[in-house]
This record gives sequence, structure tokens and C-alpha cells, in this order.
Amino acid sequence: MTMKPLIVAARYKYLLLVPFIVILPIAAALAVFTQKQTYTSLSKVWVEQSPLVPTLPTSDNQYQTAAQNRASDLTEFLATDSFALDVARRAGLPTDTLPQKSAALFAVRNGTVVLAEGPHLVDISHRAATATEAKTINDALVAGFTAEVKARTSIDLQQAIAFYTKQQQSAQKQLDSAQSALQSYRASSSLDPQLTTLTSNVQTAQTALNDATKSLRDSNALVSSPGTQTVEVRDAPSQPTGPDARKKTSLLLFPVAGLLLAVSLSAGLYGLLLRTDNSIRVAEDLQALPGLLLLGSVPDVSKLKKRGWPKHFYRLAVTALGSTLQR
Amino acid sequence: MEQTRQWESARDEEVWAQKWTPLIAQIDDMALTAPVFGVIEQRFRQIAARCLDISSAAGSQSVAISSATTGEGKSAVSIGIAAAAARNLGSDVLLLETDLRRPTLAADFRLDASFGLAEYLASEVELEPIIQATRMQNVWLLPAGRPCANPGPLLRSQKFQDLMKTLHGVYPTIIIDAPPMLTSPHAAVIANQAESLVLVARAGHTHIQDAAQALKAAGDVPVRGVVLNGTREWIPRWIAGLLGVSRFAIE
Repeated sequence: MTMKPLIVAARYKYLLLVPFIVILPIAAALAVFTQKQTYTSLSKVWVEQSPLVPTLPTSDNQYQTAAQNRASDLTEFLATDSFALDVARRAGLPTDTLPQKSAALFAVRNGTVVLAEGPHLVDISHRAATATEAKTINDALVAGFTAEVKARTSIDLQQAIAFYTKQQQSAQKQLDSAQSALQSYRASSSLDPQLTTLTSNVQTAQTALNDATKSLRDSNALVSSPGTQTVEVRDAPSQPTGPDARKKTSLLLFPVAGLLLAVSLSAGLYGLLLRTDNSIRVAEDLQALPGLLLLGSVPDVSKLKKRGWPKHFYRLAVTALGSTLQR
Repeated sequence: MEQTRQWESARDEEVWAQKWTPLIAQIDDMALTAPVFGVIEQRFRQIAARCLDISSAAGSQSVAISSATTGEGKSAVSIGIAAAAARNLGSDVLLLETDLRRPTLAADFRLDASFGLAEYLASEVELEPIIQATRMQNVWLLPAGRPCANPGPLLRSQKFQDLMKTLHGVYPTIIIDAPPMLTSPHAAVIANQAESLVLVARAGHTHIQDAAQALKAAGDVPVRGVVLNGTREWIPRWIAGLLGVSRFAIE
């Protein structure tokens, strides 16, 4: 078993510790000083499934809750520059120049978190460097979101009215046609089996007309009623009362990276020392010089002394040396 | 009671002093504790036994102690081997210092350094006065003298070769403290005056390549072996114990 790797490690142990001694404090300092203080403003918004008219075709995922659908909508809105800039303007952020726009987009998008908390509740939070900024942007986010949802609901209702109007007209035509056919037939014949069928057609057309009329009336009622909403802010954006708790993961990031770097450097240094250190230390090293005998070894006196012989012997040695010098 | 204890302690010190003083006083950087020094002395006795012929019919023998570069402890090892040889053989041992550029032995022995080998080779002094007795029994020193900037002509002179012959006729054992093989161009010349060469390598300091070059520079001089100086337990003993490694593999 060659001793060289162990001997090199033991001899240069302090040098191999240097990367740890240097890097780890720097990493710890970076972890502390680069960690910015942040504030978070939180709001809760109640949402309903859209559209309100169940029979109308919709782009929503019917297998998700209203909160999940609206949270997805808001995430998509934020991905668009138009919505994000609208939020920025609502928050009073400057958006005149290109750098200002970029900064505003970054400020709105960075730190915004949208989560569906239940079937109807959407959590919207925004984290920023100051409490005021966090609340202002969150206010703007909620306002922009609710406006967007209301606008979409309104469009949905308009589409519903148009749809049911067409259905009503179509049903009316069918009813008129069925009634006309029934009257003509009654005039021409007294009792006939076809009379039952024609009467049934008239009744069916009448039912369809009634349904379409009712849906149309409902839709119109929703449009004309200002209290009907698919989105409602339950908890307005909060004013942060203190900075956020620092995340342990981000606090550990620098030290862990520093540790890895120190280990890598130390391992590299060790490899280099192992490769370049070719000094003779133990008898085994002399095998590189074939035919050369080891006559003996003389221990390093200073090291032996350090190992801690009793003080008594030091005193004896010093006395002995002194008496010799006096001769 | 207290007085008795003090007396015993004083007597212990005296005994220790008498036993260890010679070597403690002489060897460079070895003002040590007695138990530590016991280890050192034992090691030097082993080294001396391995690099010198201890048979009575051996006649005069000389060993050059050199190293690859400076600072590897060849002078200290030379003193150690000389002291141990004097004890092992029980006869006179001459310690000849030939590093004329950086003489140190006279100072180590607290002896007069104003005249030595350089002055003798320059015909400034005779031989007898410059060979000085040391406080170590049977160990004599021929110091290098005053530092000499250009020792080449002196060491390559016929007078140096004649000196070696003369010394071989007087001293049964000559330990030559030679300059480093790779930094002194005269080291090989000096080594050639000895019957054999011992290379000193400082553990953790001497590189394999330097040692190999030093051996190459020695030329035809038979190399007895290497003395590994300044060894230590490079791996903590408890780790060696866990790995089941012998103490000798880590020292």
C-alpha cells in the first residue's frame, strides 16, 4: 500500500484547507448581503364559471374549477405585453421609453404569483422591494384582472343574446310553419291520423320558442343587471406590514456553491501536489533509485520535541548543555 | 523530605548530563531532551555500523558525506556518524571539513576556525596545529578554516591528495564532510578522495531527481547508501493504526 497520497494529504493539510478557509466566509457573506428584503401584498378574488349561460359554447376547461380557469387566464394575460403594460400604467409606472417599458414589464411580471385556492377563490400576490410598490402593483393587477374578466363576461353575454335571438327566430318560423300546416289540413279534412302528428309538431315548435325566449330574456336580464358579476374582489390587496421571511434555500445557495467550489479547488490542488511532489519522505520513496540502500533515518528533532516530552527532560537537556558550554 | 527530593533531582541531572552532554553539546540543532537523544544516538550507531567496516582488519577507511543540495543536514549527520563511529570502533575518527565556502563545523564544536584545511592547502600553516581535539572522545576535527571564495585550485591540488594519504596513515577512520554534489563543482573531486560516499537526503526536502543527479555526479565512487535526515511521522499515528500500516512506513 503506497503511502504517498496519505503523506501528501497530511503534509499539505493546511494548504488544502485554504480554499475552504477563503471561499466559505466569502460565500456566507454573499448569502447574507445579496439577500434583498422583499415585501408581499396579497389579495383574494372570488370568481364564477364563465359563461353564465350553460348552453353557450365556451373555451374554459369544464373539468377545472372556476378558480383554476381564471388563474390560468390571469397567467396568460400577464404573458401578454398589452396586459402587463396596462397593469404598469394603472400602477403609475413610467412606460414612455423602451427601457421604461422593459423595466415596467419586469416589475409587473417578476414577483407576481397567481394561485387557485379553492373552487372559486384566486390568490393574487405580488412581491416587491418596498411595501408600497408591492401594494400598488397588486392593486393594479387586481383591477386589470377584474376589468378583463368583466369585459370577457360582457362579450360572452352579447354572444349569448345573439345566439338565443337566432334560436328564437328560428323556433318562431318553425312554429308558424307548423301552425299553418295544421290549419290547412284541418280545413281540408275532418278526422285524420295525420292530425295528431301535425298537432305534435306545433307543440314542439312552441316549446322550442318558449325556451329560446326564456334564455334570451335571461341573457338580457344579465346584461341589464349591473349587480351580476363573474368576478368579485373579496380581499383587496393588503398593505405589507413587514418584510418577508428570508428563504432558507436562497440563504443556503451560496454556502453550498462555495462548499462545492472549495472541494473542487482543494481536490484539484491535491491532485496537482500529488503529481508534482516528488520529494523523498519515507524509505519507500527511495525505490525510485534502484540499488540505493537506506542506511538509516534520523528523526526530525523539532517534531519530536513538539510531541510533548515531559518538561523535566527539557530542563535536564538545557542544564546539560549549559554545563558543557561552561567547560 | 523536600531537600532529599531536590538532591535526587540534582543528582539525576548530573547523571543525565554526564551521559548525554558530549553529543548534546556537539551535534548541530540537537540540544535535545535525553530520551529523544537516545533515539538519535541509536540511529547514528546503526548508520555508522552500516557505512563503516567495523572489523579490526579493515585498516584506514574514509567515507564522504554529501547531499544533493544545501540545507539537508549533511554536517549534522557527519558529526553524528563520527561520534557514533568513535564509540562503535573505539578508535580515533577524524572529521574532515571540506566545504571551504561555507565552513560550519568549527563553530559547531566551539573551536578555533581561523586556521584549517584552506590555510593548510595554501601552505600558510602546518598540519598538526589545525587538527583539533573535540570534546567527544576519539573524535578529531580538521576544520575548513576561513571561508574561501575559490576553493577549486586548492581541492584539486596535489597537496590535497597528499594530505589524504597522510591522514589515512594516521587515522583509522576519516569522515569527510563534503559540499553538496549539485551546487559545488568540487564535490566530485572530494568524493573521489574517499573510499565511499554516503548521501544525505532531508525528508520532504530532497527531490528524487536531485538525489539521482547527485548519484550520477558522484561518478565511480561507491555509494554506500542514503541517510534520510529529518524524518517524522507524516501520517498521524492513529490513522496509521486504523489503516494497519507499520510505523516505519510512515516515518
